[in-house]
Amino acid sequence: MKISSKAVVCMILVLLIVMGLIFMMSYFKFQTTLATLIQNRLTVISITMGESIESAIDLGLGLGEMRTAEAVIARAKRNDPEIASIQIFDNNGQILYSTQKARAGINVPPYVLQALEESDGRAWRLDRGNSFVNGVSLLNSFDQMIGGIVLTYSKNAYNTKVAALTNSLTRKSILIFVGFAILAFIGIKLGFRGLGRYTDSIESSYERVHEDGDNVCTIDVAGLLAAASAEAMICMDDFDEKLCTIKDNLSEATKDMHELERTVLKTPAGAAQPDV
Amino acid sequence: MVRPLVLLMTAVLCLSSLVLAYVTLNEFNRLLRPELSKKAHKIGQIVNADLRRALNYGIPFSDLYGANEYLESTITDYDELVYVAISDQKGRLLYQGGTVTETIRNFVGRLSSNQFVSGTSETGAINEANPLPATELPNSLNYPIPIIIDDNVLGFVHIGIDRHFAQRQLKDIFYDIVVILIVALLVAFQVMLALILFYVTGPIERLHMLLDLQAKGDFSKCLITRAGDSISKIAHYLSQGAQRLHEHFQALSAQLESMFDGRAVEDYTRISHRLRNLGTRFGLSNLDGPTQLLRASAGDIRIPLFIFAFAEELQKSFLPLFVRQVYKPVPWLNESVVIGLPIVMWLAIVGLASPFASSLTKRYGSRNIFLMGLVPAIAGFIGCGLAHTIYEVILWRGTTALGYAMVTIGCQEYILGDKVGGSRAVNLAIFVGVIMSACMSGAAIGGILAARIGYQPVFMIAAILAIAAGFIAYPMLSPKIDSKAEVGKESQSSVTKILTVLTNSRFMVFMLCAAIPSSVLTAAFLWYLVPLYLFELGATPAEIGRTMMVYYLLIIVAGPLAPRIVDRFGGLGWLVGFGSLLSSLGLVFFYNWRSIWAVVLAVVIMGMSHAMTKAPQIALALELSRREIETAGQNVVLSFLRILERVGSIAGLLFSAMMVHIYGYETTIGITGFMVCGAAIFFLLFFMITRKQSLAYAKG
Repeated sequence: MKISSKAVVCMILVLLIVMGLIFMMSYFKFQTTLATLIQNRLTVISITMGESIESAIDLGLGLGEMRTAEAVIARAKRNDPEIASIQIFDNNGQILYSTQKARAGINVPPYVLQALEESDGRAWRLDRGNSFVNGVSLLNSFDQMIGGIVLTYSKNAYNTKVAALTNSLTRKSILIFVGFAILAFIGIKLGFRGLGRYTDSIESSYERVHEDGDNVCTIDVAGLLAAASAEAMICMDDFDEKLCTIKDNLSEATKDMHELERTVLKTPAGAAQPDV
Repeated sequence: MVRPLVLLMTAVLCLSSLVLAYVTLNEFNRLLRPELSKKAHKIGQIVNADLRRALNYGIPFSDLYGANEYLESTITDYDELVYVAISDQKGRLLYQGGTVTETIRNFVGRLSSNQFVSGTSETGAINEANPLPATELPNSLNYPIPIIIDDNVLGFVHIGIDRHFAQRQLKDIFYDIVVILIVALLVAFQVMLALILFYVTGPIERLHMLLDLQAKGDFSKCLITRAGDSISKIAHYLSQGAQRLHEHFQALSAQLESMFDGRAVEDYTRISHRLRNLGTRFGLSNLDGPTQLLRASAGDIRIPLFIFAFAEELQKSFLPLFVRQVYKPVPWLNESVVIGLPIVMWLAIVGLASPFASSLTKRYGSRNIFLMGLVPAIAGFIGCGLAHTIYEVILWRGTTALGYAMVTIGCQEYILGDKVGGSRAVNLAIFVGVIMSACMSGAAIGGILAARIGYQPVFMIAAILAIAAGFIAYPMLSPKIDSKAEVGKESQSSVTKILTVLTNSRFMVFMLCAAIPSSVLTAAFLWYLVPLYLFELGATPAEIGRTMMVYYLLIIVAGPLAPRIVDRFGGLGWLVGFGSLLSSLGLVFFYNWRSIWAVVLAVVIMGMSHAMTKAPQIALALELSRREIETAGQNVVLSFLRILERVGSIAGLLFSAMMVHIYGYETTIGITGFMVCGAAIFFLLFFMITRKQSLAYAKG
């Protein structure tokens, strides 16, 4: 692979990693922000319902005696179709009122009571995979906890929005990546032109020496070295000159060795010489 | 060639990141606005309901006592709200909470209930399912909710949502994006430089060396190439010529040997002599043919060392926090000391293993030691990634330290090899530069990763990167590079050599009052106290990583200025002394200011000072111990310097850990600062007093 291609691959790889990291961070940030916005809104709903229930408790009604409780939770559910269910439970965890009639009388899941226990403030929130769970504790006028409200919110709309961001951002990121990768490609090819010219000149020197042999070094009609003659048709550069010098050195070494051979072996003159 | 490439890369990375950030912001706005709108309406409904309750009790609309305070408290509960305002039928603003500008007042004034046809059907239709549209104002989105009593619109509740809410959310990741860009540019710079050196400059340099040799008639060298480019073709052509010449010469020598019988000894000697001269003249004497022309460069270590050091530094910004997570009480050690133990173990093992690694490198070669060192390093990363107890973390950090010592010493010995081009000073500068870049990048990126994926997965990423470093090191590092063995006085034993150094009072004062305090600040303050203290102040791992990154960034940027200052003004001792003093001032002045910015400022001041003093410290150490170098050798002196620094770092770290347990972070930082300050002042005074003595020695 050419060095310019390697440089292009390297730059594109770095660009891909950087854009990939930015994409990932944006994706996670969007998830966190959207989840927080939704949970904050659910907290507002929960607290509003809680205050409504507590004002009735402050009038002396027991939690199990409120006829308006079902209306309160039904209205809250009606106002937001994404709310899956709302339950009001006592401090034993037994559901007293629910938007899902079948759930009245049974206990809330253990994680609800655990979240209630572990929360620092009045409200608490959980992310349960495919739904957001939000809740508040209900306090009587002596600030004693007498129960709680738990609101389960479907993540369908949330997942749809996250998927919408993923699709849209992926498409646009790919376009941006391709655009800048092309820019990088053009920039690197232009930047490596100088090197390309240098390697081309080396290549042509090699081909001339390899194929034309002595013609590279003695190309003047008078048989003189091209660089030495004022009337040289082709001039050598430093590189060619060194190659010619090397050819001469090789010839000299070979000639000396043949002379020595003849001295040793009394080999006849004009014997075959190794190609150099 | 490198500079235009780096500029191109900077432009491409920055522009693409800007464009992507802009596109992301638009997407955030588009997708978050409906949710913000729902929130605004919900809040508006609550305020509306509270208002209606008060109005139903007969309180006049314009006389609602405490309404402003109520609206202010609503603003403080919700981060995305800019204002909540209540206007009457005629558009007069009656009550407000938050920032209500003139523009908002004008808008509210234009919106009156006459715009709405009174009557149940129309007003009843304005509800949450069918709200009034929002209006875009310069800095907010205004959501009006009508206040309806007995089918009459008495006024409006205006909810103002921050228009730049999405932008503010992205601000959180803006700093992370900047860090990623800086690291990407550093990585790309290292990679591009290494690519150019390995595939362009290196081969061209070697080809020209071979050309020059053969042009002078020396055919003793050849080049072994695999690539098919034009440089390799010419190199192969020249090498083949040399190889054939060698074969011809060897054949001639063999023939001469076989023809010895029947020749007069005088004839044989004469011919042998001519043959030897021929061999010497054209470099044909080696019986195995032309030897490979080895020309390594310091750039060979760039990528493998950078990737490895980057992997090791990923944990820097959160190691104490991770250790605290797995900490269980140890009966005889307090928590702060136990949390510092993995760092102590790392320092100790690196300090102990380095001299052995150096001798192993001379025996087995740098590349082999690099690759062997990866084994304990990778095992250590994986071990930490799976650790559940403090003892496991300590054990695996020690294992990693062994690998780190072998890898870094292997690289250091590689660049100091006699077959490596470039001067020693330049090569060492490349080595230090690569390490510093990796430290900076690793600390920052490690913090970002830890914040997103947790602490232990980061160790696994480090293991993967270390494996990659091994695959890259194998082809890039030349296998036959060895460093020169130092010629010292062989008659002296190691103990005697060390004792020689100990008797040099100026050197020992320098060690105890400048070099060791500098290492203590790095280990105890930067690596141990900064992550823990910043975490206590509420900083995230990403923020901690950025703060530590500043230190290394300053070392990289300001480090090259130190030699210029020394060249211009002279006085290594003054530079080191005042630098040491300055490095502690950040801790001394700001230790009582309980703020993240206090830590950042202390780190900045420390970074600037250490940038000025790191290289001069080594130069000063060598200058102060000239006599000892003549007898014991430079390696012994520098090894002693490093060992003492490590011992000092460990002692300083343990001392800080104990202080934290008793006095807390602020006071411990203050004590550390004052001690380094005091040591620096003592060094300056001692240096001033004994300066005449050293001048006399220099002249003598």
